[in-house]
Amino acid sequence: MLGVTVITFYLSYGMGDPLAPYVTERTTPEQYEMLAEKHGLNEPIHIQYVTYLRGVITFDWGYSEVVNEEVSEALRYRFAATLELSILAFIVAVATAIPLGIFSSIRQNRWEDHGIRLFALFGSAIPIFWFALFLQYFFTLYTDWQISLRYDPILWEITDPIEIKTNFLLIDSIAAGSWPHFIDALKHMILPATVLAYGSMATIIRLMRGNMLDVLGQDYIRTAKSKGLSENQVTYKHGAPNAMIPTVTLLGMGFAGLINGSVLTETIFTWPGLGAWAITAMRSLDVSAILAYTLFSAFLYIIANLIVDILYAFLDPRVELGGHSSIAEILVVSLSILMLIITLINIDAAVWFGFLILVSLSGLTIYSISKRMLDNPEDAWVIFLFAGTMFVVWSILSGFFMTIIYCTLAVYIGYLIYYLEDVKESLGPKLDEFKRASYQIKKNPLTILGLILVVSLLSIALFAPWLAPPAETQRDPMRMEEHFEYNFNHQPPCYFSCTAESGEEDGYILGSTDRGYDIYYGIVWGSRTSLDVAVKVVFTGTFIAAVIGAVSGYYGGRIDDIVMRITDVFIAIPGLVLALAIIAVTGDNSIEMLMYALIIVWWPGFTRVIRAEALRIRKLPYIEAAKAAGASDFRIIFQHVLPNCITSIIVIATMDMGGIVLSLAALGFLGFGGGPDLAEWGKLVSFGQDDILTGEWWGFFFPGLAIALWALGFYLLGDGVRDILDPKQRN
Amino acid sequence: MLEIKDLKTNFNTYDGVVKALNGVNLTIKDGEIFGLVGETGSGKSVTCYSALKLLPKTGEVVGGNILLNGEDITHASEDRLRQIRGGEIGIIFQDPLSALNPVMTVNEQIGEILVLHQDSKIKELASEKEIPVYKSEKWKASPGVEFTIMAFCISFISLFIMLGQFTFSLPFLFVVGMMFLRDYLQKDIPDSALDLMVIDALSRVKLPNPKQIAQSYPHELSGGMQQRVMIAMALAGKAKMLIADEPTTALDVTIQAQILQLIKDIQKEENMSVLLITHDLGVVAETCEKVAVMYKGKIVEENTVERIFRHPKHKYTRALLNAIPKGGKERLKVPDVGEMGSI
Repeated sequence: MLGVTVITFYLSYGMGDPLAPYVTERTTPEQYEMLAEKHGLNEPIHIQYVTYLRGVITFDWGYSEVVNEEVSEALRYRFAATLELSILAFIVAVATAIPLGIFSSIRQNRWEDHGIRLFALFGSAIPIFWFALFLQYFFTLYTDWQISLRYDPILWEITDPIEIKTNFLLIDSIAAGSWPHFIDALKHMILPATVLAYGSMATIIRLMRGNMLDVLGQDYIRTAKSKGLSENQVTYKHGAPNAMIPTVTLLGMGFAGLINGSVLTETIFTWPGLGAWAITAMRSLDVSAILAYTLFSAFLYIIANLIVDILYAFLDPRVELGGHSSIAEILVVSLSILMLIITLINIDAAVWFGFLILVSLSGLTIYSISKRMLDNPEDAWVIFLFAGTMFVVWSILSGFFMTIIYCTLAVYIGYLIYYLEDVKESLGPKLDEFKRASYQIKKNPLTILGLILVVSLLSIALFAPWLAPPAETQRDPMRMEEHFEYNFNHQPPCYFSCTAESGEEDGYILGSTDRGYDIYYGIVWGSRTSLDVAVKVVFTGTFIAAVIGAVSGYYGGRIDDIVMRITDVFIAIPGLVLALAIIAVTGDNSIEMLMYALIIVWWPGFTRVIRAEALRIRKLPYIEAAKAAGASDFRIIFQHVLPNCITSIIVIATMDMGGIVLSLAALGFLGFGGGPDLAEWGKLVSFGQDDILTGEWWGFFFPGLAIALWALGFYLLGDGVRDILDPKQRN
Repeated sequence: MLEIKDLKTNFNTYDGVVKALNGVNLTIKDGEIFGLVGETGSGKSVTCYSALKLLPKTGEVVGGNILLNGEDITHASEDRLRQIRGGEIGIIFQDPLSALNPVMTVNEQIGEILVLHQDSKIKELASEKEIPVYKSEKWKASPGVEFTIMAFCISFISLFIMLGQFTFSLPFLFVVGMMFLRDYLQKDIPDSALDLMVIDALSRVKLPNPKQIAQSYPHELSGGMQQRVMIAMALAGKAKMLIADEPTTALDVTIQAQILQLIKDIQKEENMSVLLITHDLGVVAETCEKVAVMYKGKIVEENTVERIFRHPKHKYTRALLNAIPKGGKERLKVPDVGEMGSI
């Protein structure tokens, strides 16, 4: 079924990884100069790269200034901390999510199902840091649990030190046979693990439910019923194992989510793991640490996927490990292995060898492309399309791409108008779909809730100048005004009964932060920031993904292979980590840079979805018919393939309007993206974080609530739209 | 044997209620092969799913009675229905590949129905031959469980090695080793009674090398073999009636003939009743004794095969018969006869 062999697949993954941080390093030349000096690397690029490769495979990962330690040294003990946390979270998530997903599917459309779905959606929509702060707030105020660090330093280091062998504290305490140590370690771990688990749990529940519904509609379920098996036997013996197969393939993604989440969770719970370390490194531009961390998390992700693939082969008898691999794959992989070996032995030789490979590979590529072009010259536009996309990406990085986007949009609209009749014809069935959709939206309470949330948040953004009028002295309404009175007097942040600067009572409806920012003002204007970033990211990403995905899926073969390997490289690095690395390495902390980082992170996943759609569509009869009628590929892609992908594009774009804001807020919470006075929800939450221990809850609560509602609204809407547009779900 | 009286089934869809069956009357006697023909969407399959309550969630039986050997099972309890499904009525579906569970071996899938409906026989056989009842492969669990055990063992081993306590990891090493070696260690264990019954069921449908087929997964078999496995499964519970829902549609012509012959042979041997649902009049002429023609959710004509073919009474039947391509003549169209006239 999966023709690609697991091993070659992941080696080709691995091959690309060292490049990724390297590319980010190259992104801006000035920064690069600075970094090169820092690294002590002023040699030409290819030599540097080979040196870096050698460093990577010999575990010489550079020196981290932040922790004042060798990176590989720091990785070693911090890795254990993160791994312990993630494994516990993962086990909890999988063990609870799968039964819940199954239960939800057998009670489809009853109240149990709605409850579980809402619970799962909350899990995806609640910003992980907000949830963490919430728990922190309650547990510090109402219990005597200490919720920072991995252990109680008094118990572990002073009164009763035990031997730490593995750095997995739970295991060490068992090995030492000490009950209080075990309880203490567990107590410290349980909250971060809960926070971490909830997000992945939500994803797995939704996956499992969907797959289970799919499986329960299959013929063999009817066969099982016709044998006289009971409902439970049918569900658990015939349904669940089949539904597990597609779920398991996506567990690797779930693990990536955990790595993303661990960055935030560890920061909040001051867990001495990799994530917290990476954040510190990024704040202080500790480059070798950042690169090492990026590389390392990609590596972790690949390992997780490898395990998942083995599990997949165990679960599905139709899949065999190994399978067949093409000669090209074997060649590339063996060459890269050879390259690594030579690198280990002699750098100069490796440089030459790598150079040779590059030249011959690019020669081959040029040869095959030009041959193809000569054979069928009408395909030349594909090259131009790719060149154009590259140009778009470049323009994103250099900052004038929005103009291009508007122009392209205008051109495409013009194109549509020019061929209006054809488009109308292909849209006819779609309009019917939408009529159905509007009818079904009325029947689904969750979708209506989502719609209401989205509309109200959008209108908040629209009416911001009236809802929270900026002060007359304010130059830029997006920037919050500090009320210095409070800062100077070291007055605590206030809520409700505080006196505003102007002297009137109850000036701040939702309270203020310790810097004297009005939270209400921040939330109202922050909605504009969120909307701005989300729309731009989703729009650009959709554009890139639609073009690349449709072309790649439609043509298949070589082009598809190359595009998929490129997306693999991006996907292998957890999104938040990659975005952080891009921002940190370029050193540009503006909201625009953050936006570009999010686009870079976001497009590969979307491209894959559209590619899968295009692959499906190109096999449909009417595409064959269009081909037979002599339509050019260009015409087919833009008139038949893309319009037919539109449902899934809409669904994913809607969902990701929420997802992008979550990432934006997470980055803002970590202190990236715009100056400190920019009205942005994540940033407001981080201001509120400082006051939690004194019981001032409004600072983190309201902005976080805004983020959660925003994400929840879009998720509900996207979910509802998918349920409606998916023909399988229609009754 | 099976009597269906005035059966009415509705589907609740987005476009409103679809009346799939508008009062179907059928009587199938003991030991006869009964054909049910009609065009796609005329309600043939829905009739048999309604009879056994196997309708999808949107479908609903709204009227009529179903009698099995005189017992009214229209409102029978779920438990009773389960006894009937597989135990008294076996079903064969159209596409054998999608109707067989892809992740279970043939052995497991047939074994399941045997355990449900033939449990006493299995035990009898076991005590008679002094062999294990259910499992010959004692130490085998489902793949997921096996993987979990393996993963746990390996993580414990690495853990203890990390802790420097190699001796503790020995039992886990032993388990892992046994998992790899067990196939060699278990060679002498005889087949269980269940295995023997499965092999017996497979050889009844004339599958060559039943022992090997029992251990394979559905996707490893050819279409004809899959359909034979389906038939073996439907018969394994010693059902006295077989419903075959277009059993040959997904197969190519030579295999079709073999499968039909097989159904006929088995019917003769066991003296079962067979309800053969098809849209192929050739199949009906070949196999059946009596035939009913369905159109728009109703039986429009019912008679012996010979009479239907010689003297069709209803005009839809005539149209259907005329639509059989006869060398050279253009008669492929089945006209829509509109409102059904009386016979």
